[in-house]
Amino acid sequence: MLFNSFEYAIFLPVVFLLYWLVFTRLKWQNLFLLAVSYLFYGWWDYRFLSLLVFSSVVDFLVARQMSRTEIPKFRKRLLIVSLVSNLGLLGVFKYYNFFIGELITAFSNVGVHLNFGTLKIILPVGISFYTFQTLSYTIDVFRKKIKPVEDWISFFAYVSFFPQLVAGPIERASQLIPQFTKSRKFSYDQARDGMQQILWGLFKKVVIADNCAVFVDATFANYGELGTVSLALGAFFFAIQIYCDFSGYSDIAIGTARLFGFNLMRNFAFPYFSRDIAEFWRRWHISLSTWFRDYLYIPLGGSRVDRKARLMFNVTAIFLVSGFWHGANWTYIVWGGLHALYFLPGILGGKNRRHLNTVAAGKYLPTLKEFINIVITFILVVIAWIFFRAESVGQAFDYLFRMITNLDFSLRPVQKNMILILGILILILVEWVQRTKEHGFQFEKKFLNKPGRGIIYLTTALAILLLAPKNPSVFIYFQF
Amino acid sequence: MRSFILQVLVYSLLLWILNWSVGNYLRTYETRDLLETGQFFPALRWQEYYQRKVPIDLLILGSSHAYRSYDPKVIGTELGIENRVFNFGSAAQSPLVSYYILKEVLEKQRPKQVVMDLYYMVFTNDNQLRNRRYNLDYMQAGPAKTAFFREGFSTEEKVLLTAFPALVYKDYLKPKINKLLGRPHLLKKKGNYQGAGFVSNPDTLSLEKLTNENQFDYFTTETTAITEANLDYLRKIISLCQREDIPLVFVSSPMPEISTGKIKNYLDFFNMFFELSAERNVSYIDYNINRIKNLNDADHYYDDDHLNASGARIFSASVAKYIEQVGY
Repeated sequence: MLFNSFEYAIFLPVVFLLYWLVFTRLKWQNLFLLAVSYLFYGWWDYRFLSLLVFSSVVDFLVARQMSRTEIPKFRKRLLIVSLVSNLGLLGVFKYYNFFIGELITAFSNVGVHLNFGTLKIILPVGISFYTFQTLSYTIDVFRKKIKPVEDWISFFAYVSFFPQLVAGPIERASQLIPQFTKSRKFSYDQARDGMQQILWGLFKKVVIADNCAVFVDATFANYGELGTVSLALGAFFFAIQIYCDFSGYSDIAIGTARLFGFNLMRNFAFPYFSRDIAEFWRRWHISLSTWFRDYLYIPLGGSRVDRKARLMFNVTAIFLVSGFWHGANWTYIVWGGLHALYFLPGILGGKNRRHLNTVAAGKYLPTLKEFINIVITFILVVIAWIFFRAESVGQAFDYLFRMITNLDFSLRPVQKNMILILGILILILVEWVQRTKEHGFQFEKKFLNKPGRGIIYLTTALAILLLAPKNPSVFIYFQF
Repeated sequence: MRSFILQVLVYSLLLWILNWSVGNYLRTYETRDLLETGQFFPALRWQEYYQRKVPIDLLILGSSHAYRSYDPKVIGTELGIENRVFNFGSAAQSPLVSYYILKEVLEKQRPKQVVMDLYYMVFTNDNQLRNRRYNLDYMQAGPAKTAFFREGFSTEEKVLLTAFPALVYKDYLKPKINKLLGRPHLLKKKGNYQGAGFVSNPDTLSLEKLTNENQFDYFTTETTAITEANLDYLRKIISLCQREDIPLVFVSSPMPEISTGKIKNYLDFFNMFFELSAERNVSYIDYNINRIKNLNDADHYYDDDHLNASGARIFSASVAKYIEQVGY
């Protein structure tokens, strides 16, 4: 079920009302959330529910067994069972064909022709997200950071919680499970804020991202025939598209969870206002970056290592794995590698934590230096996005090559997309004004009175109805 | 909780009113802007039909191939039934739409012959909401319209059509804004409404364009793309005509030879429909197989699949003879 679908528009209010008005006891609320989460997931393909249930069963039992023993060897074995089960499924469904294909190519390069067949595998939606979420649970139990959950309903509901099931935020067990085990009371302020965040998320997804997608798809499909302005605009629009698509999804997920009395972690913090790449990564897909930091980077030694070579290895490894997490394609690995290249000078020079505050805090505009830094960071990110979006690494290089060789500075593509560009300017303006807030529609009462806010909400909702393109697209991150 | 629900309801109501007002304003692009300039053929066709006093003897159904190829004046003259031919073709008209148009016509009329143009491509798509709506919107209330709405639209489409005009007519936002800004806002005219449902286009497409910029250059559709729902409605049309004792003929009107030449599996489509019509004893002629000698690609088409005015005249005279021959 898509957040921007007709079915979801019926599903959400029905579930909301039943949850608060009928299932008032905690256990029943959790059981109800579990049932509707499975319905939400099964709507797409009920067969893959079995994977979700399998992961939940394995990790619930593994964690319980872990808590019953203090023998390190046995605990380690249990952790391996969890890692192998979860990563094994992910490996088969997401990476099997990639590795087989690469193996066949590698051997054929030296004259050996292998006869492995690739499989026709459908990638189960959200598998990368819920696998990482449930892994965080067993790893934290192994590290004795949290105690295992005794109530299976709470745990299963944690793994499958529908607002964030298919594209995150990837929640930590220590943060989300306690919310399932404590009774929840309806909070007007929390629910209202949730609705505002859903509205802003829908605007970003339906009005901005989906309209950018039309131009981006056409540009990347015909890049060989296009000139500088079209190609640059295509790359720019993709940067906006992927941000609005994914942060829009996260806003809807976080907002929906708030309607049910849950607080999910923040996933985006206005990343395109970052002044360097390190800041960008503190603000982009925060739940994944911090997952890799906590469960891979720090165990590798993090930045507290003696040798610079080791630090470079750790940083590069994190970015390459992060790229590969997105999909079994060299384009994602190169994208990760590029970000590692961008990131390394800062961390090696000890400058990666220069910008921990919000840019131009307390001011209307950034300084010229801040502005230049924002623009440079954004351009670097856009170049990397070309690799992320392209079908192959060769196509990405070709795209960049044509951008600088097919010199065509006609502004027709810009003129033809003026309405969309106007929408993007509104997006930038709203996010700039709101950059110290949790999301774009968290207005301060003193800044905007009630009728003013009401007009903004209604205009936004009407824009969503009127400006959605004919064919709504699925969320980009569903494929990961 | 109560105040939250109340607030959501108030906002929903305000949004619904806004959607209703804006949607109905946008709809005026069809009912006023296009209609006044004679460009909105479905409305013109239905208006003329309801104002009509003369009975219809011969009814034509089908897609744009129907309303641009069958000239009622020529056919009427050839068959000696002047003013008694009506062309109810409409853009991408699927058999489902044809069926309910026929039902509506049968409420007040008793045609002696129904001609249904078969353009294979309309059988491959069940989801052209706009083209179904074009007919639904301008049909008068009655049993046929009720049944059309009930059977011809999904639940989601019914909700949209009933309660969300802003979503239904949102495509008209751009031309309406252009109109408000004093910019050109009307569509490029694709023919002139000639009455009795027929639209003619005097332009001729050059052979060069027909050869090099043809929509069928990358034609890959297989007969398997034809949907069972569309075939079901075709069978329903046959049964309805047989029940009402109205002779029915199927005709595939001509397309440029260059275009059909690019459709490598054209014969597969033809065979499929030929077998279906033979099974149900319906006469069928495909003018892309049985070519009319004095129709040629250089002079008689205005785009890569529609006849122009002079092509339509030649074809109409020929198809009238065929109708006469099979028993009118």
